[in-house]
Amino acid sequence: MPSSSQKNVSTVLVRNGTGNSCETQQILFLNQCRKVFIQRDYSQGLDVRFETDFPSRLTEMISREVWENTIHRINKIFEEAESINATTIFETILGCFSCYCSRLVTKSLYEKKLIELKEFLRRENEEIYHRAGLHIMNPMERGLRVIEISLLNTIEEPLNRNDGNSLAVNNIQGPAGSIRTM
Amino acid sequence: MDASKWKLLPQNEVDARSEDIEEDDEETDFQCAMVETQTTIPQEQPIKPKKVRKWTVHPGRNRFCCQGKLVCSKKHGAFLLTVFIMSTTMTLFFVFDAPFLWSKNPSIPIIAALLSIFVIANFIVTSFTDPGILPRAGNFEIIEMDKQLAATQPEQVANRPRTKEIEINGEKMRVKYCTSCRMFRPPRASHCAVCDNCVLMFDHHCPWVGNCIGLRNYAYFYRFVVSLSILIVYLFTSSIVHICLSANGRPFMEVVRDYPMSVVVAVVCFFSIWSLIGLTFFHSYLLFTNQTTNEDLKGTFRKKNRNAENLVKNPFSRGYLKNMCHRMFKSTFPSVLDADGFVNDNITVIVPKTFEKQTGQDSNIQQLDPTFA
Repeated sequence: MPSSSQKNVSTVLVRNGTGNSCETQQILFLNQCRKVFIQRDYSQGLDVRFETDFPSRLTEMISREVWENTIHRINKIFEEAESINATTIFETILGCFSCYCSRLVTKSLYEKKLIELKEFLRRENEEIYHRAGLHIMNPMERGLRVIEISLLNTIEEPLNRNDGNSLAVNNIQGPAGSIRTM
Repeated sequence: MDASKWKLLPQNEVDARSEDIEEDDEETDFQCAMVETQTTIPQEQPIKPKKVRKWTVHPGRNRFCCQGKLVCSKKHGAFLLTVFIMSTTMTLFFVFDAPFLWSKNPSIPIIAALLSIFVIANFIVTSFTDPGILPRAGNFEIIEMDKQLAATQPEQVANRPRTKEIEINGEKMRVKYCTSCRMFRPPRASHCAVCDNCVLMFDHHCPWVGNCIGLRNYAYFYRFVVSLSILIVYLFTSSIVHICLSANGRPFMEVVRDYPMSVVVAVVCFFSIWSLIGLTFFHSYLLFTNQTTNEDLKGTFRKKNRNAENLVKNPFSRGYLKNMCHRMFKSTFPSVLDADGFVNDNITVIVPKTFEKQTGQDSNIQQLDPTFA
């Protein structure tokens, strides 16, 4: 649990680089950003698929084409991971005959696709979204329920313990899941 | 508040007080304010996350082994009974029946051994695989969702909808809000009362394997049930064959006295055959019609309920063969619980400072970093 002093540090500047090149970087706490949630799209069944509508809060930050390119690519990765082809059938049969020992040494198609997704999101974030003030979180962090997009330039004023929100602060600082009802 | 009073305190006492405050959140505002004056040292290092594995803070009633790689339910009475019955029956067969059958035809016990290994492997994998537990929504996500709801539909904040209607392949289905996990359950997911978790594509909680059966371990479970019924039929006939061939026309009671263990194997198999074959046919039916035990028990897609308001025909079914393939031959869904991963509540990103800040943070930054020009 971070102490109260750490809580109040929302942005810290880090001097990066040597000599004359003095580039500044920021460390941002995503918990303090406002979020846009992209929900799962169940209209075609239970396979992992996210809504492709352009969220209205992103209109002034990135263009529709960029967003659609990203979300369609994410959906495509999951579609490939959930497909049935010779690889997955071979994987299953090999698993059966080796008493699932093959799982210990080989990576399944889904695991490979998740690595691809992670790499894709990292690249997209670095090249496009961070510049636009956005950060796309890996949906695996939220149990593949939602894609969480943080709006980096909406960092809220750090919550002060002395104001009326002290109850909310206590709730936030609790370890995840310790509070069952709100 | 009078700060001068505090400055007179010896340093060690102030430290002791600040430690108290870190441990106990219910200190008075006065003391909290004083601690902040103590700790306005600029922190240039990112907070190092403590390495805590996710299973240690998991709120459900689960047991974890091997740093969270193995997941099962906390209740394991029936599981131990299954292990006991399975192991004794197999041991008795291989000790008392197999040598006789080997002398007749070595392939008979070899097939039994291979089948047994397959059964045990599927049993272990079913029992210790994460069935598809959905991790609960974090506090920050809930607070953010509340804020968005308050901004868009303020009238719903106090009395939030408990169900949501969604459309799947043209059929309307209702998804419920789970108050324990604090999220709308995905379709076909259900909250297991035994393990206190939402499980994706929840089939049932199986006490005999000591785990929920869900999206991730249904295929293993189905293979386990099918192979176990084949094995039991096989053991039953083998032990009967052993008894009959050894009888040689002697009276029945005499044979029983000579081969008591073969009789035990035959009796155990005889009594478990019926329930297991029934279970095999039931799950084959579910597999080919793409239903779960949970939906079958509730009658979600039952024909006579179809005209009722919120009950529909199964929107997930795509034809018998495709249903079977989709549940048996898909690449295993990843464990979204990620029990052996590390907790990371305070996710940070490092970005180049290129975008404009909306709020007046600059003064804050200058205060924290004195070298900032």
